[in-house]
Amino acid sequence: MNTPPINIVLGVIGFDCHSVGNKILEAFFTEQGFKVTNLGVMVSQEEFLQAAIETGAKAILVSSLYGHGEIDCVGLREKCREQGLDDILLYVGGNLVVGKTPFEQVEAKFKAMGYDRVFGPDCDLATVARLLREDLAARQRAD
Amino acid sequence: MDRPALPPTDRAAERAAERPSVARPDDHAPTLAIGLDIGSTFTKGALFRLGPGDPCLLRRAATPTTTAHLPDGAGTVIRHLLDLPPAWTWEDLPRTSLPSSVGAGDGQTSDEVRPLPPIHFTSSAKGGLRVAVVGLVPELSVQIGRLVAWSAGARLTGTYSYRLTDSALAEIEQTRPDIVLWCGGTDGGHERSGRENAQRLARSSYDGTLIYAGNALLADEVRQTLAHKRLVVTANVMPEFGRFNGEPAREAIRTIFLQTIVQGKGLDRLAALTGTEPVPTPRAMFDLVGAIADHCPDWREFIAIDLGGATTDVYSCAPAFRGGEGLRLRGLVEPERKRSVEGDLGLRISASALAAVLAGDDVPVTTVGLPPVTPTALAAWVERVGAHPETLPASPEEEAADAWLAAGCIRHALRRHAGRLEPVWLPEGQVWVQTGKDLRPVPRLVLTGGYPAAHPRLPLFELAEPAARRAPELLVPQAPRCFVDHLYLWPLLGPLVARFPAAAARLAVASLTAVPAVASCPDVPHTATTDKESHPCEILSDSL
Repeated sequence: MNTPPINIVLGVIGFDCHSVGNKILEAFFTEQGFKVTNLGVMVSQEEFLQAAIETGAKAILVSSLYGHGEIDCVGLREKCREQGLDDILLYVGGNLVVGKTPFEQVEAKFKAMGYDRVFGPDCDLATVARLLREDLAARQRAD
Repeated sequence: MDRPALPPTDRAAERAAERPSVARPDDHAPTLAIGLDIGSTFTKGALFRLGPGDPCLLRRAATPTTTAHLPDGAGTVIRHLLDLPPAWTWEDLPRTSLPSSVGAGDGQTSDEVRPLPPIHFTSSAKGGLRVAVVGLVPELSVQIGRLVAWSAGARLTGTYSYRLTDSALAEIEQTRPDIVLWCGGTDGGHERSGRENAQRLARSSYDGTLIYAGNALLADEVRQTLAHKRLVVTANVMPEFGRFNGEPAREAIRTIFLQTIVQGKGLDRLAALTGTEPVPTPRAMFDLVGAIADHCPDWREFIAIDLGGATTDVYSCAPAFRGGEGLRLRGLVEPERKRSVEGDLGLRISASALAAVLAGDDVPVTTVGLPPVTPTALAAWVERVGAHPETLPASPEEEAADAWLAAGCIRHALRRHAGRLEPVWLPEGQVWVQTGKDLRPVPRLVLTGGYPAAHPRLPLFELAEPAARRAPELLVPQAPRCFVDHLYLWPLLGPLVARFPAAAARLAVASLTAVPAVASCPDVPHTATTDKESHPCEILSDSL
């Protein structure tokens, strides 16, 4: 029997309405062989969690483009732990903060919030997919 | 055997039935049919003329339900509807032909031997169909499970999310629902809770039927773990995130109802003699509502509220989300055809629970042309009708209390059935986030049940949701035209939908009466307006 595809959950967090990149991500990760549950735009933390639980997702990919990423994303890791999603991978990417903060600082800030990987607006999607597979494999070995 | 006396019959209806009708070109094959509803208190029935042309009601009858053996009461009703001799019993069904006095004017000669019309029946006797829902996330699979169970005609005994706790299991063992509908996880999705719940259910003493309608990847494991239980495995109610797939589980519930629940109450023998299968009463109502939306062009979108002594049921036919600028849907897209059941909203058995709900309302206790209801009078009324459900109001004050409770049932049942809007301010302006169904533009609302039938001119919707006070965030209908099933025919047309969907639907709509429009002021005497809706079903309006 074929191994079932890995479930991932995708969406644009908070009250962010940017939908173009979200559709590109859905198409890209589906093509890469993932089973994508795309929640679309304006997704609350609770919706990410509920979808991840029902679909048994191994990773949540959070997008934020409107500059309020910091306030929207804080606390998601804690909520995951509270809901029993201890091992889930959290990725975040986009225009995460307003202004010209160096990316290293942004990355450090979001990693401190519990995100496993942090990406800027111009990241290479093939790299993201490769890192996702590596991280998922590492999680599986750890189990 | 003692047979209960029938209530006085309606001679006018019988005269109407015997009146020769003018044959029309499309009237060549009129069909008679009987709809029966075996309720917990009364067994009701009606003989209809369906088929091509204008469907109509010919006769109706009711008798107290014979709870020890349900077919006896059903037989009494059938005997009356078909003008059969007093010694006739339901066991004579296979040997009986239609008397010449019934359904005359059908273009047949009276010496012809005519078979009995088809008899379709529903049952809600002995508490109806009791289902518990076990799922994963309350807002997702549990909610879908609830909607599926409701649309199958069930009354919920409990809903449980995530892992079944010891106390949840004890509650299921104690309440003993007929069916546990168990879902959770998309196909290929969550497994852990499903696996744990399988083991816990396997160890429990619950001996009803389990329907597994969760993650399909677990199905084989579930079959093994629960091999010693009565288990039915069906397709997942949510195979992919947010996608509804209710029909297989609904069908499983219907089959279990037929195979296990109707047995032992005599309904199986009645089914064998009539050659038709019983349906849970609310499922028949759900099917009727769907048939109306399918077959009556002006009724694609409407709401029906069934106001009862124990529960208030709401049925809606309307798209959940209509889009629009600055509007975003959050959570599940609810199905276009939805039923919800509120077990704490009812005029008699649930009156005290209802009063507790109403105590938190900000709508003033005003009534339409009736004296104001004081809290003391309301409390006294609630206590009386809770203890003695057969009580009828004997004074204007009690009439007012009853009207107030009825309006409260409608208000809260509709608000819970409908969705909500929440305003959100963004840098680019305000947007609205919608959850649940947007019923604001729904143009028609039907009230059915004993209370509305007895008070067809009372503007109950206006009393429930006064236009002047309607909160914008509640997605309840804004200005529906209200109708009443004043002959209380819908529960008797429901069973006929399986065979005559178009005719039953057309007759259901034709038999309604419009509630007179009121000005937005709630203090309009309910006898003052005389809006007369034209009534397409002539026999109904002049003979009953």
